[in-house]
Amino acid sequence: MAIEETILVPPRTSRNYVLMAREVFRGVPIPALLFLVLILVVGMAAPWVAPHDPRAGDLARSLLPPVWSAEGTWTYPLGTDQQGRDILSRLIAGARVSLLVGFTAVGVSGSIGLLLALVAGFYGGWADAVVGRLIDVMLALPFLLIALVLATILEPGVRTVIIVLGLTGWATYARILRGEVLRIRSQDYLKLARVGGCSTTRILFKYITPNLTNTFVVLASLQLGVTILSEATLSFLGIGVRAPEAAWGLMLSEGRQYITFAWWLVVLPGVAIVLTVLSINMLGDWLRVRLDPRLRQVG
Amino acid sequence: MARYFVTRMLQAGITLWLVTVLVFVLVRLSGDPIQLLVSPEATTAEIELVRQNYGLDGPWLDQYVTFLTGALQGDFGSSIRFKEPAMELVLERLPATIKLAAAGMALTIGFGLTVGVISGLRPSGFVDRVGSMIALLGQAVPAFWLAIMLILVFSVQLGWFPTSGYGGFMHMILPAIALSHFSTAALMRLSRSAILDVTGSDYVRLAHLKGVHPFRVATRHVLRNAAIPIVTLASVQLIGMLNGAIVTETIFAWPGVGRLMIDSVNARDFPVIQAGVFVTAVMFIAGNLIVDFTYALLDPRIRY
Repeated sequence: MAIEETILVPPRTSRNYVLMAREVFRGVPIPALLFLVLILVVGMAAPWVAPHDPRAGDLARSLLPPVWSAEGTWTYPLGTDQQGRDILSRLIAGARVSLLVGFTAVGVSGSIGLLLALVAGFYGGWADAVVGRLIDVMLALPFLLIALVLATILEPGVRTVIIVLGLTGWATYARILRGEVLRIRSQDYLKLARVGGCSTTRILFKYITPNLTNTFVVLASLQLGVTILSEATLSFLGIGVRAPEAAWGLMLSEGRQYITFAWWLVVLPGVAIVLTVLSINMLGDWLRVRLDPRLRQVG
Repeated sequence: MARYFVTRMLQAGITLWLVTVLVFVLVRLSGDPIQLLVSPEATTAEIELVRQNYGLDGPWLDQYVTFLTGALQGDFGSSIRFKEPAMELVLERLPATIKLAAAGMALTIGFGLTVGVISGLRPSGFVDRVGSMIALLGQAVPAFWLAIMLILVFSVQLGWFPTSGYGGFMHMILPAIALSHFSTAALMRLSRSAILDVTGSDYVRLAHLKGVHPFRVATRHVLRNAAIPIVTLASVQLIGMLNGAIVTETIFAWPGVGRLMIDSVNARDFPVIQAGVFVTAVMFIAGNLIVDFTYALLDPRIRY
């Protein structure tokens, strides 16, 4: 009896969880994962972990260099900007903006792309033709141009950036997911579901959508990096996040004119962008290999 | 075959038409240009007169029809800022943008394709290792920051290149790098995986077994079959270049279409925005069409 039990019900020791975690995270780029976790935690807890108010300046202490140069102090470890604001605190506040915009915009554009792909792929015919042309139009226009025009209509700020990036980024999802829907639609189990009397809504969301999950997750992870880069570009061009708020792109555009004598103003925010996007892309590549080896050509 | 060509042409036409609708609506939503045209003291009658002169009276549909008939003849009206034909302004700036894009494409193909192909033929070799790192970094660096860093290092510190402006060969190098780094990284990764796809196939192994010289296998069997995804991506890069042109031209004070567009958006100069977007879209759609037709002629398997 005792023997049978041990065979049928393996003991739930912590060891199993360790093994499971090991299997799930096999081959994960650890530095990228750690950095991203750090940015996530710091970004979410920004108001509590920032040593100073990211918006409060004091001209008496403007353009202090980082701590490792001769005149640097530990009070402002990464130095201060032209208005005497703490760079570290502004970088932390910027992380919050980048993550907020990145995740929401990817959510919005992903949902639009998924819905259009389902409609186009499932109904075919006219719906497919219309969605196909919409995708062509979106891909035929430089997104920055649409963003610029949209930004003149709407009030600049985080919300506008999310709307702009959400409305311009869906074409990639729609194009690739549409192909997936077409592939799934011809499978036998879908025909059976229909013979069995399933409603269209049920077929779309219970039978097709779950099978798109892997592709969707991979696409979204690759788009996240692109979206964060786009947010930085919009803020840099002055149509995204506006002063006195802090965003990495905005910090770079403000620091640009001090390039000759305050290098840290233009170097540090850029390093933050590169490390974040690099980590996201590395994790995205890992996910792609783990979840969907067929998607090699995306991105 | 003829049917395919006609369908694709029609699709391209519809796409272009949708572009004009989208641009027209977006631009009209962004505000009333009339305030920029008249002096603050102008009377209502004067404002109405100006409105009529610029075709800004009447319902949107009428305005759109006027706009479209003009657009078909290449007439986008006069720039509100410069009082010159909008199309001429855009076409005047086009050579500068094309020059920069050509330099960028040359870098992308010369560097990205070469490294990508070598990496694919010799996976985990030296070129592959270094190339993969460059490609990963290249896709994480925003163009505007790369531009600033290039200026900081090569113009401010070393003084090798001018910081900005339009001029000879030396003026073009930094903007071309900033413009092309993203597509270079993308092309590197794609050509590598396209080559790897082909090298694993049976006919390549058979060619090796037959004793065909490795160089001939690479050029005859591998490269030819890997060409399609590579050419597709390279053509799609054109739009990336035009996107990037807005940022790059702004930072390097390069007098191209991108900079003209940013200035026009800020000044709400509708005719110029419309002409610029139209020209951009025509170039991109025509480029795609040419690529599709070339495939159809080269590869009999391709039919959509």
